[in-house]
Amino acid sequence: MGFNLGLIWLHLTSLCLQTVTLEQIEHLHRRFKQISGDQPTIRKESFDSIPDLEFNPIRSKIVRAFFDKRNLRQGPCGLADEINFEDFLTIMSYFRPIEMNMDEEQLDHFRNEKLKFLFHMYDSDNDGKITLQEYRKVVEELLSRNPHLDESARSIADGAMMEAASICVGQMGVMPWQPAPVSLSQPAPAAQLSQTRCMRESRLNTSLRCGRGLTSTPRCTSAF
Amino acid sequence: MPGPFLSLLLGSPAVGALQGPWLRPPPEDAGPENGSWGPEGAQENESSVHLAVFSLDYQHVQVPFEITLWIMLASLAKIGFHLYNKLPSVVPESCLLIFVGLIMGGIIYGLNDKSPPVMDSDIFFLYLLPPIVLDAGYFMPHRPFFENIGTILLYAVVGTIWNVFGIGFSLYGICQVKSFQLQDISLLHNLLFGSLIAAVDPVAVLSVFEEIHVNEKLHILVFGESLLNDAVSVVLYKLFRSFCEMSTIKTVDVFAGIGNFFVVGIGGVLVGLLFGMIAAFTTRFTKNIRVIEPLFVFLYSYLSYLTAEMFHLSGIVAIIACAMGMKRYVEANISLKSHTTIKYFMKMWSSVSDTLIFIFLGVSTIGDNHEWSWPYICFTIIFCLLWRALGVLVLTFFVNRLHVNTVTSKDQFIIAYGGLRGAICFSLVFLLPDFPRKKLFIAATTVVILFTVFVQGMTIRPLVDLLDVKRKGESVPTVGEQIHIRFLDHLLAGIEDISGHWGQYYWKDKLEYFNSKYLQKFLLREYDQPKSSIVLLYEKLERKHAIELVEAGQLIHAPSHTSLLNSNRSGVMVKDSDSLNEAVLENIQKILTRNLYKIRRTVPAYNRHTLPGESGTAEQAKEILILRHRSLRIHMNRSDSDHSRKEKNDSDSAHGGSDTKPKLRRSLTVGNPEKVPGMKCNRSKSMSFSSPLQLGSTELVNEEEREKGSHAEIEIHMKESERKKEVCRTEALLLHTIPAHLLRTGSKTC
Repeated sequence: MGFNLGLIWLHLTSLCLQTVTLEQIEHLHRRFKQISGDQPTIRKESFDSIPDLEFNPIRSKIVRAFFDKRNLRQGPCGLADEINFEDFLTIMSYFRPIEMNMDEEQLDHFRNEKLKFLFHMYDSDNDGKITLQEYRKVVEELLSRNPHLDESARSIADGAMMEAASICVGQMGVMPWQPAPVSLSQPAPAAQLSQTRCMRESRLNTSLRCGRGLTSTPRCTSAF
Repeated sequence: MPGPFLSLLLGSPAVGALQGPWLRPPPEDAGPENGSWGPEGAQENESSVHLAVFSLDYQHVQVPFEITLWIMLASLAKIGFHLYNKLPSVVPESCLLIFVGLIMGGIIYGLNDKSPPVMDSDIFFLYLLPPIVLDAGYFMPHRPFFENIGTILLYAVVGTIWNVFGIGFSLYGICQVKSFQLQDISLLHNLLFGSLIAAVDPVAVLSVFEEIHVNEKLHILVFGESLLNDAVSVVLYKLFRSFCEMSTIKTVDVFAGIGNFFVVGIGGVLVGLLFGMIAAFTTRFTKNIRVIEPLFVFLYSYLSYLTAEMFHLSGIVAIIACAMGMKRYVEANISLKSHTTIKYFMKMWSSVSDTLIFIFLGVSTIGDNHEWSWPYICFTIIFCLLWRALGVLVLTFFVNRLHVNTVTSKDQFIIAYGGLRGAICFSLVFLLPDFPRKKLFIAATTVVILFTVFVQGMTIRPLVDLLDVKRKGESVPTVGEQIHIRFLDHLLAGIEDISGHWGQYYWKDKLEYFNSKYLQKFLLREYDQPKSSIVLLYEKLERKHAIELVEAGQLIHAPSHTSLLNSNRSGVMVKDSDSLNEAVLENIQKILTRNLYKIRRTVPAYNRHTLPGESGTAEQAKEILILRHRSLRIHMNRSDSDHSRKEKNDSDSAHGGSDTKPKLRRSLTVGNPEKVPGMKCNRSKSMSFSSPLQLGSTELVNEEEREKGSHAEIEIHMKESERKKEVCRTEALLLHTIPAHLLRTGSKTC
């Protein structure tokens, strides 16, 4: 295949991904080859070969996230057909941990990136807004093992949205309304924007266990 | 069982005087005489002692009588403490119980003038300890336990070994000092003593920690450690004891000891899981004899404990593995009432055991069993504290390097300080073989236990407050947060799969897969589509909600958003959910689901006194409903012109009512999300209870909208009618009739 991993590492470093080490890139490269079957690119179907992913209720969203052009920084919307190793790394880089030595601006940018990634996962029609329908779909997918509970799923989703609206309505008077991470120039309904706000406000911690994968630093938490 | 206490009382001369002429000595040859009592007896009366009108035969009932009296004493003591509200907050219950025991011991000593009977180790290990451990294992919160299992095992295994050797060697060093006159205690004896004194005791930890309410992670760390270190301490104790009796010790014996540890630990887990699976399998067939279902849970758990003890494996680990393994399947198979019964009985037994243990600890302290040696005892206490602190420090250093969620220094302090010793050490020391210094060991153990329970137990709460250890999270995670968290879990699992990276999610997902594919089909009676836990709790809450409203006298009927809609119910108008106003619906949902998540999150992980899921929210909701009910009656007395109300007379509402839609309208205030949702149920009428009850599924609130200004408020419409009084009457009627029906739900899950 002729990848020069060192070059890729340099390239990524230049994209301010300093926390990725060469070793990690090598590991991911091996994994990439495994998934793609030694091809230079992978398609959506390649992910079928990962058995454990079958039992993941949001499998389709995850796979889709890999091909989302917004995540790949290739365009405002749309899906790529296939991605190469660099794109794979780009997606993976969203999950790298926060380094302690980052300054405020970097930290903010970093968090925004992660938040955007999550936002894109919810927003399936690529219009930059999470509507109630999309949110409902997410909840349904989370409960996707039980097809009889669509009604419950709907009501749960509705409840969540309303709650988000009420939270933000309560807060809007207090705090200045910061522009949402996904810059929506047009005024969006409170409920939709509020989701991002809620995601931001809730101190959700995502942490990948240290291991051979993405990082070997002792404190690996990527906090949303 | 200790104490012919009562027989003392009876034997005393005061009572003897009462017996006098009314007592008839039991017949020596009761056999053939019994048949011919009648006429002969009458004739005998004149010659021998009179026929006894009143007789006393204490020997006959002595043992069960005394057992019951001791249990009664324990329970009355508990009532006494909780009557005076302030006391349990200052002094932990365990201290008070030991105190009572000390008093009892003193009384017995005074009356009897010899040592009161010491708590028999067999009784402790075979009867008193299993209920507590079963209770702890059954209600152990899965997720934090397995998330922190690495840390827990590290503390339990490595920490205990560290403590044992540390204390043993340092005490040996002290013994070398000539002035203390302790040279006859050999190294092996010191190590033996170290092995029994080093282990943290689950009973003591439980009783103290549950009163101070630290955050879940800390609680589970100390608690899990106290349970799992049993394996290590059992092995070391037996090892050193057999070493004491062996003349020479070879290296192969040491290796045998290490091998024994693995056998004990893993064997215990396997035995427990085996019995757990058998129990789950058994409950699959108990559909027709619901009454004895709880019995199986207890029997199998106890069997697992006894079996493990029989093979000299770790009984505690076995019983915990059994309880955790079977809980999931058993709860799906058994009825709701059996479920409640199990919970209640477990709590009851563990409570009684706990109390008895502490009282006996106190009783056994008094007596001639002790030999005092100031230096040895003082240094024992010092070394216990010192080595524990060091052990925690060093281990946490390693843990923090390997793990994401660090254990902060405040947490470390609490872990180190919360290492209480208790009754297990006490029983083990009595099991020691007799050697010249045994009494010294007994004295030292007693002092250490009393010190940890009293001093550490009493001061830990102020220290926690002082250090401001992160308490249980007070804020209620919102519905959105819950969904996000779940989403993120799955996302991370997926990414880990894709990246070939094994995290904790890997094992969890693997286990789930194994479970759903094989175990559930085998062990569950009704293999329904597995429901997500969100929905399960949601349904549970809906049902609970309905029950609470019914109990408060207000009935709701509404089509729910679940399969009720698909059912064939005659005569009950189902309002299509789509046509309901979005805002209204969402308000209700939001409130309900917020209740849901509140229950899920804020129930304390383990509480000795209350059943899980019973405290907090349910009580609050009930209270609120009762308050609303009261305000409702006040409302009713005022005529409100702009309220309208429809009502259905329930007595003839069995199937009719096609023209009167069942409605419940409520006024909802959505205010501070943190508070319990304030549901004002000003009016609740209508009931058509035959059909929904047959389905036994969930019920929701059905309401009609009424636009009124803010999105958050829906007003109650009350129609002016003369039937206000009838409402009260029907309410009263319903209060009596409904709960039984409503409670006969068909759903078996949760």
